[in-house]
Amino acid sequence: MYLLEAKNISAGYGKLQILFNIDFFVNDKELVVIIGPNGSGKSTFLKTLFGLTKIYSGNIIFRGINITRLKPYERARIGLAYLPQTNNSFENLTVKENLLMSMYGISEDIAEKRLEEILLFLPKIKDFMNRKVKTLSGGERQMVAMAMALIRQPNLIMLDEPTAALAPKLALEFLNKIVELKELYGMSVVLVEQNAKKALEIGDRAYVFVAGKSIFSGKTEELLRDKHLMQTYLGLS
Amino acid sequence: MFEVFVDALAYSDVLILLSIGITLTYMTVKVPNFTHGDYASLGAYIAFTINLFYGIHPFLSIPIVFILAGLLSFIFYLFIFRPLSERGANLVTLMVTSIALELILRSLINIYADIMSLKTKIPIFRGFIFQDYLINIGIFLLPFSTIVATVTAVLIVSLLYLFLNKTKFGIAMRASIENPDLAKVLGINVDLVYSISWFIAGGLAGIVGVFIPYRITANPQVGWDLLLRGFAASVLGGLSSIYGAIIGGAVIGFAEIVGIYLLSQPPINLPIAYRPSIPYLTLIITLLIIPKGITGIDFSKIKRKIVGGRNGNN
Ligand SMILES: Nc1ncnc2c1ncn2[C@@H]1O[C@H](COP(=O)(O)OP(=O)(O)OP(=O)(O)O)[C@@H](O)[C@H]1O
Ligand SMILES: [Mg+2]
Repeated sequence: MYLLEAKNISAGYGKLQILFNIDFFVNDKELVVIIGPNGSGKSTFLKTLFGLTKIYSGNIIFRGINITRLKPYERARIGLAYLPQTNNSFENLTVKENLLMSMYGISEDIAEKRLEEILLFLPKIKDFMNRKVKTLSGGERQMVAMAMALIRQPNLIMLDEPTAALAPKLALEFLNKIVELKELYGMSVVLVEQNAKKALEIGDRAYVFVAGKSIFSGKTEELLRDKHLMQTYLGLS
Repeated sequence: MFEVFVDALAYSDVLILLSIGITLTYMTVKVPNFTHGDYASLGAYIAFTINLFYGIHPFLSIPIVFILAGLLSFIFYLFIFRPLSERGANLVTLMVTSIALELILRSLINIYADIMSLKTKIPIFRGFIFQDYLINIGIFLLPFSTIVATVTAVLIVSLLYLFLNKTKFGIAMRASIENPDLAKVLGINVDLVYSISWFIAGGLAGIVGVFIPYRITANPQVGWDLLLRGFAASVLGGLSSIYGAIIGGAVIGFAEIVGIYLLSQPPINLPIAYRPSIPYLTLIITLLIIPKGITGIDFSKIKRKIVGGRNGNN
């Protein structure tokens, strides 16, 4: 059984359909990469998995539960996490309050433990715990957002371009950390990345989205070998 | 002049409680809610009825008024505004809906007042006041209702502050207002948070109704008459922060009472009849100077300017 399976998903915003019949799955402890041109529907797909868009048809099964009609906050509470591409922290709240919010519904003592663990993993955050997010730099914010998505130690985390705001060196460091985390917590990761090459190197399987359709799914090595796909859609050779 | 100040204080208390609620409902669902004034009318009638039949002092009915008005606001959110908003209704649709609800609610209160005055043979159901008395505090003689209103307003504002900053649910309320989608993603039940916001907003407006009959004759449209001032206070406050609403309420309240007092004196001798225009003039003038309202002022920038200016002189 898959950890998460999306079957024949068509979804969009209101009447505006963006995604067309997408089939998608994630295995336990797997890092799945989604790549594709701008506007191809990668973010929309992650939002759909989290219940933030309108689903016209299809089903989403997570850990054996049909979550297609679950509310987003209910999905969060059964082990699904998501780091949005934009607006991924509360600007007017302090970093501490942001972290507190990302553990909403978790009991005090476990929350305390989780906070300690995430600060071990991303110790730089300690330096700005009591500052409002709006006073932080882009990179610092991204670090906070990352911590927020990870703090619950979810079974599956979906990261939408987590390295976009980071300096190249830090971006690589970040991607390596994601792999480390995956091993450490034994969780699965869905990663949307602009840095396709690096993402494909660390990933197990990949999907290529073009114009709201999934035109490739398979092992990352397979995709890396497919010169035609790499050139036409990803500008890589 | 002292009486004028006390009068302005009492009036501001009422406007502050009203505009906190208007701002809160606007921040959650982005609707300028026209029913908000009627919660105050409802509050006034509940307090009056309880007082009439059970002899309970209006101030003691504040908790029940808070709960009933809050429930009504909560029901409107749950069954009308939330479903509409989820279906993508725009601001105009939501606003017109609230105007329709307002008309219904006001008619119902009118009907209630008519039925009750027929049944009880008490004509004052269509216009009543509560008996106030003066209390001696040191050298000051203060109306009891003003003291209670001020204490209530201060208490509520302090409690709200603690709630929004020190409790997990309060922080979740700020988070859900700022970015509802992210809040949902993190496991916050935004619907529940918004429902509670609407409950609090309606409840506070209900409390306003308990204080109104101490200052003016209350009738079924007393809340409606106050509503536009509540809007003025909220807009002045920027419609984006509860603290803005508090300042807005105080500014509008004092501007109207102190303003008409000063303007009606020589040499201007403005007729008192112009009084209702003062809140809106205040609003327009303030917005011309600070278009985003009070919370739009960038205080840190002003501070930098002052500090920078000093450095320049050195
Ligand atoms: N909230 C929205 N309402 C309506 N249309 C939207 C919304 N968000 C995105 N879209 C549209 O959906 C399409 C897919 O956008 P999406 O953000 O999913 O692309 P993406 O693959 O993540 O692109 P990028 O690489 O630039 O992040 C685009 O045409 C976009 O304009
Ligand atoms: Mg995107």
